[in-house]
Amino acid sequence: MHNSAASFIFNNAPQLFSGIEATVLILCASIALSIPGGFIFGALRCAKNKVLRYSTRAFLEFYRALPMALLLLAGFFLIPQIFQIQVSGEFVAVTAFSFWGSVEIGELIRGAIESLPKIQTESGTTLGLSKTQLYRYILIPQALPRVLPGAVNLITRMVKTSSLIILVGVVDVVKQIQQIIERTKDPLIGYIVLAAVFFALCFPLAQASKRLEKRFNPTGEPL
Amino acid sequence: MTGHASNDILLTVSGVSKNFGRKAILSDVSFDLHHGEVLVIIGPSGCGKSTLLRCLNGLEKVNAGDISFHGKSLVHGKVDWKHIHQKIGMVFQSYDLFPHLNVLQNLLLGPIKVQKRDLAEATQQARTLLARIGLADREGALPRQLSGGQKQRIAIIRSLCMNPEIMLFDEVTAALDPEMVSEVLDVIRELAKQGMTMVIVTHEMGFAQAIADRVLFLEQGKICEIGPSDQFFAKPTSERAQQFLDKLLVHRWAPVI
Repeated sequence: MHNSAASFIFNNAPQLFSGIEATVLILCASIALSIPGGFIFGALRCAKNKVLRYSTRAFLEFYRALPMALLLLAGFFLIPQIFQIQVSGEFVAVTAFSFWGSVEIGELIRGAIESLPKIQTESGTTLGLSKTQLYRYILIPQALPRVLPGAVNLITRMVKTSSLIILVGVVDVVKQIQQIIERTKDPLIGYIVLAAVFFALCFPLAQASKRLEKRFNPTGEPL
Repeated sequence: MTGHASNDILLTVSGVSKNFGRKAILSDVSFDLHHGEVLVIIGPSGCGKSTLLRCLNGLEKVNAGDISFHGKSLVHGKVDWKHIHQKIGMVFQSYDLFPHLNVLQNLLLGPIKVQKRDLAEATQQARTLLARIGLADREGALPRQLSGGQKQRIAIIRSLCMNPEIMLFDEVTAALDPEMVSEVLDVIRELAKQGMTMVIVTHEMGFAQAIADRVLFLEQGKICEIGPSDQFFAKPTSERAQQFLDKLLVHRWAPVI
């Protein structure tokens, strides 16, 4: 019984699923925060004010350059020291991943809006639309399908990078499977199950994105 | 259209200059646009025609001079652009329909979101205009399902749905296949018949001759000549305009008299 994946899952189901739950919850929270965060960051990156534009650019480049492991560890150990407050591993993980998601989605939105023909802005303007209306009715609806492939790619990377949150003591699916392996002494099956879990999280995302792209752009013409 | 009383003037352009960096695009351009007048702007490529048109509705800011609409400046002081853009419609060279909205949604965006008009009333107007250009059955179509000529005709009536007082046309047929040019020009002619005030930038000389009340010939950002259409096409006063017309030996459009 011990060397089959089915029995591995069956015998350790509660522990396994509590790990998956922790991973999925942290990812969902981070992605949910990244979407409004991305709109805010994208708006700042498009701002007329040069200080805003350049400081957000600097933040983006800096944040991109740092490895996630460093951000997690620094957040977990330095924040309590500097601000004299207690932070949980989950809090640090969601914060680090949300910032990552926000700056990357913001950048995707900015790029997509800038890639739209200028005539779209001009013809909207000559119809008397306000700046907000222009973004709401003309630019963002056209930008979203262009953002989608990049956003799905980003989320897939976030899912995979989430395996690092064990560094700050979060008991996620990786940690749970490690613990199960220590008990069952069956690393091969354990890691196969772990690989299957990550595949099951990422693969449907790519499929969903393909379907959504088709819906936004049914004829498959270049946007 | 000469001999207008001054209270007929819709738009006054006085001493307008515009430069991009050090390059002068327009220098000291002045003219009046009267109610119901069709003014055609012609001139060689790069003479500033499109820039002049874009200055008239604020897409380009002028560097000197003044433009006034109903006597109110569009250059100095606080300008209510939302109002002005409703009154001065514009159609561009490249297809500018919103690709993610169908024809009817394109037509209604301005009337509903900007003018906050009643949906039923605005829809009725949009459908009437669609019927007039022979596209009543395409209201649910997306722009990519339409031909270039159809897109330009719809772009024109999208502006008309705002009930503008002036229409600006920036080389609206320049990007079209030749066989689609006439269907677009016919719509503009129809507008002229109805008395719409228009400023038209075009390379179609036959069309210009047929539709213009006055012609403004622009060269290197300066007004070389401005005058009644028949006079201009019969015998332009400036040598440069004469040379320009001589070069255009082939007229696609026969003059309509």
